[in-house]
Amino acid sequence: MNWSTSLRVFLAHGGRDFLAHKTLTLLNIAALAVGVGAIVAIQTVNETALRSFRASLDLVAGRPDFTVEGQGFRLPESLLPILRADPAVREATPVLQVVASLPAHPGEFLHLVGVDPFSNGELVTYRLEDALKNPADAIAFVSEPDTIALTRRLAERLGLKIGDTLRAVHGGRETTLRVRFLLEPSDDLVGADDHLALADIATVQSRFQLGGQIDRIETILRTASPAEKETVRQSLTERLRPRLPAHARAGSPDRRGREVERMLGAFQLNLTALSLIALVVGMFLVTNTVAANVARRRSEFGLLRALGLGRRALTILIVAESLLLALAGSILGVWAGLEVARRLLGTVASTVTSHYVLLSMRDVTVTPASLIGAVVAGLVAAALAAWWPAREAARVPPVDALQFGHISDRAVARFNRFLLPAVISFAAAGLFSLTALHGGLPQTGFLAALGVLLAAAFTAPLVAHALARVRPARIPAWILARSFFLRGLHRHSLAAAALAVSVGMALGVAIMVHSFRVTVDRWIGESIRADLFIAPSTNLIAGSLEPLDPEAETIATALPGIRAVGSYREIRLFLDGAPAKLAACKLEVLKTCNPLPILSSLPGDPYELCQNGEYAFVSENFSHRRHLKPGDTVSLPTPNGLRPIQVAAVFRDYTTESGLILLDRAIYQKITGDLNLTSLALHLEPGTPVQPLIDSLRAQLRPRGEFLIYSQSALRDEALRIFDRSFAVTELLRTLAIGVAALGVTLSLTALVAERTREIGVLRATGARRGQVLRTIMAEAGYLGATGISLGAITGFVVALVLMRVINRAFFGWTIDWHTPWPLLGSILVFVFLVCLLAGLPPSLRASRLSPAEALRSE
Amino acid sequence: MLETRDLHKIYQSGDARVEALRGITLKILSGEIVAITGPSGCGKSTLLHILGALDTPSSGQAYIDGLPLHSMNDDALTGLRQLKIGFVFQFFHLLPTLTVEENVLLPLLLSGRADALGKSRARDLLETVGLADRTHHRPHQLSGGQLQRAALARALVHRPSVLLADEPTGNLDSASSAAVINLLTSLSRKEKTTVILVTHSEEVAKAADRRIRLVDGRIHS
Ligand SMILES: Nc1ncnc2c1ncn2[C@@H]1O[C@H](COP(=O)(O)OP(=O)(O)OP(=O)(O)O)[C@@H](O)[C@H]1O
Ligand SMILES: [Mg+2]
Repeated sequence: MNWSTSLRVFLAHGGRDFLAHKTLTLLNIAALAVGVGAIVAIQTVNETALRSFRASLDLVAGRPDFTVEGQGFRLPESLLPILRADPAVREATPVLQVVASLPAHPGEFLHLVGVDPFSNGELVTYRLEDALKNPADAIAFVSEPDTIALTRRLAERLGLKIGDTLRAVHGGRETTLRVRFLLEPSDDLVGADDHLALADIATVQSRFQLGGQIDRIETILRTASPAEKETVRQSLTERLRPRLPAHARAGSPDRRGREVERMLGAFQLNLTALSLIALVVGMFLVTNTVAANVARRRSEFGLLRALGLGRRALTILIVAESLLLALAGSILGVWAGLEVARRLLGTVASTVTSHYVLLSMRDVTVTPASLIGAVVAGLVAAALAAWWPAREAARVPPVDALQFGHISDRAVARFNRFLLPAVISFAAAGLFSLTALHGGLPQTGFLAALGVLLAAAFTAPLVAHALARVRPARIPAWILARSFFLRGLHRHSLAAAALAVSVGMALGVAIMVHSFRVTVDRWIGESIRADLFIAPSTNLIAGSLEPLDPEAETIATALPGIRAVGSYREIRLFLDGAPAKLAACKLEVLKTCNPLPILSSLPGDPYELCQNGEYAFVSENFSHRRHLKPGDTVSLPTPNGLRPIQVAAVFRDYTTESGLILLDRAIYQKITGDLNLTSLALHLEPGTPVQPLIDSLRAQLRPRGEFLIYSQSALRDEALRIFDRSFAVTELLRTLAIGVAALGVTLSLTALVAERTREIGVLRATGARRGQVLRTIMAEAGYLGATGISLGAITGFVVALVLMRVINRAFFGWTIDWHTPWPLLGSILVFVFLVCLLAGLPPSLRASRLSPAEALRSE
Repeated sequence: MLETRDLHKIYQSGDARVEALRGITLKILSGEIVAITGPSGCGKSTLLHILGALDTPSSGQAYIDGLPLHSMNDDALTGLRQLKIGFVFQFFHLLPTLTVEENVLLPLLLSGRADALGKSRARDLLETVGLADRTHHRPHQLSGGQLQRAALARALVHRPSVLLADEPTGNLDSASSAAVINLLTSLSRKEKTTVILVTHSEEVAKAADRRIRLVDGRIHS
């Protein structure tokens, strides 16, 4: 028989089969759609985050060849002539950025970028051109010292027209700016932050008293060929090095994007790994549907084989058919994923902003390539999933396949063959844990988690078998359900495996998040002792680290009932290519009012060491990641050169993923010359009422701009709110995985009910009532749920162990104390069990409604 | 006693309309053994399903012991099957994960009568059909003839007044076939069960008291 005939027969049968079993077909499509959707959603959010970050970067920086940038601290303007004088440089332009709050518009802010419209001709102006239509505009832009250009979107939101003025506050300095130009939305602005505002650099400097300071210098090199650029860049870096301050970083502008990508990498990897789980669970379901399909159409396949269709050809046909469905599922998944991504944008933007960099996203941007990638992932998953049952089908000798009856009476035994793969997966998980912790390969931690989940999947048939050994009493539905379950094991094992994987994931993540939360909460209780905190509002809204109005400290110190005023300064910088935070405190206040949870220290009083010399406290994760102990040295790049700082003590801290170096305020100011503060911590005399103090602070600070004033409990709530938001996406994915697994239960039972139609007819003929048939299939769903849940519960603890002791340790270097949220776990398990029963309801109803006579005639 | 009057059954699916039964009127006395024969597709199984309270006629009346099958709902029909009807099928259809004894007990179990009395009844029946030493075996350990004998025990365990058998020997060799038919007739004579058996086999039909031949949905006399 030739291919085209086979194909015709196959398609004719397949098409009719799909129509006859719509539910199964739809479930199959849905399963893949959810898997692919999860990938697309996460992929899109990740991509949008990076894109919008890069877009903001491009928007202010253009696309220069070479950048000199001050990290942590600003650069002196005097570097500009040095660069301009260099023979390799054709053009160099300065940039200064500030985040300013807008007293008239609470909750809004300006991301004000100072540029030089004359020197940046080839760099940034092409964006300014949208606003500055002619040379006269450019002159107005620089000559009127209060001119700014706003994005049209922000102007509309704030109700501003050209010519209107706007009050802005930064670092305690208030100024009035005039909107003279609007930036039109353009391709360059896609994905960029609409809080962007442009002004002449001199305007920003003079308005906010930042005379002589710049953030960056962007340059265009004289060479045209991209090949040469790298060497020119290197020699330029070499020439400049002796003339640049220690904290200046020079090089290709791509570098910063890459660094941000690396910073976001761990965060994204986490989400990507979770989204893959959804696809894997989807794969189980596809295998299940294809297996069901194949079982049903056994005699058709037998016929095709008997007529001369080869084994491989049949396998290919079956896989191809599943691919067709997968295509539909994947396309649906792409659509759903994009929708979900749109909904997730806000959450992810604020998470990234509070942990890494300022980020604001308006709409999703995604490359066709990654969408195609997700579809391909869906197709590959479907092909892989279909391959196994297809091969099994093709292996059945044609004669057997043609034989009538006994369709579902497949061998129950042979489940021991899954034991070895389970053990191997588990061993691999152990191995990967070791490489993650001690081999310098943190990414392998995720493989360890995957290994645990795989081991659970392989154990599912064994657990199912063991559970079915419990012989029920005299309840007919239960006896029958057990009988059905045992015989359906070939199908149920997959559903149970999917369920166990999802439940394991869900519980593991739940335990981890809860433990983390309790740890952080306790730590906050221990380490945040001040009664009131004051910070500039932009630090919350925009996640920036803008300086606090220095007047705030004076006002706070003068209040009655104050025991001590602590201060906090924080900057972000790169140390040896990895991000870190540098902070400064009044250590004498910390020591008396709020001692740090110290883990290890040099002999003597570490506070005294730090107050009197160039010593620092470092956080646990900083010391862990950089392999530093008390007594070791860190080189801090400062405007005054590289300063070696000795580690006096290591303390517990959960405020940053990247690690923290803490200096005494006086030492910090001496080393860096930076007198700014980020926030204040007020310790009150015992018995001083808090609310009157807050009111008095508010009253005195209000004229000076927008401030955040937190009480201790409010700060704690805020910290936990940020924490919860960071894990919101995780929980969404967890719910998705359970949802897909529930689909698996429906699917498995629907397939089995279809296979057993005739048997159900016999049962009805033998006197089974509708209700008994319903209860039988429901009890079978119960068996299935119990298998997945009991296995998943155990898996959950192992997954939690890997997440906490391997992945978190390897990636972030912090210790999470183990806290098991028993009530939460219990409710998740009960919830999943109920979901399983609910998922079993449609097939149960279908089975109970079969007409006995029709059922007996089936096949 | 079984009785039908002008029984019609029409299968309608879309435009296709099949008249499987076209006016069957018959009367079968208690304890009678009747064989239904006829060409394939003439409506034998359809008639058997209606008589067995598995299906309802499109029109006409059917009575078992005076109870009107044509006007009962699903629940009442099920109740009737639990009390009065036993089935034997061509493909045995024992549940493979239950033992032979459990399979035989199934009708009693489903109607909540699997007590000590029921169990001894099941054991007696198994002994009668010659499977006393096979009670704890699983169906896959039995031969076709043995399976059908177990199925016969299952069909009779709840002392039905009517036993319906749709080609009970269709899947058996002639020796097993003869054994099953012997048991079927002797047991039902002993228990005064009415038997209706559909068959294509002349041998089997001979064992019946009476024959009804169906052709094209009508009784052909
Ligand atoms: N569900 C149905 N829908 C449509 N037509 C049906 C249906 N069930 C049976 N028929 C038709 O009704 C007629 C009688 O069928 P039935 O099964 O009673 O025949 P039968 O005498 O038992 O045949 P066989 O000896 O082959 O078993 C046949 O023409 C059959 O195609
Ligand atoms: Mg028939």
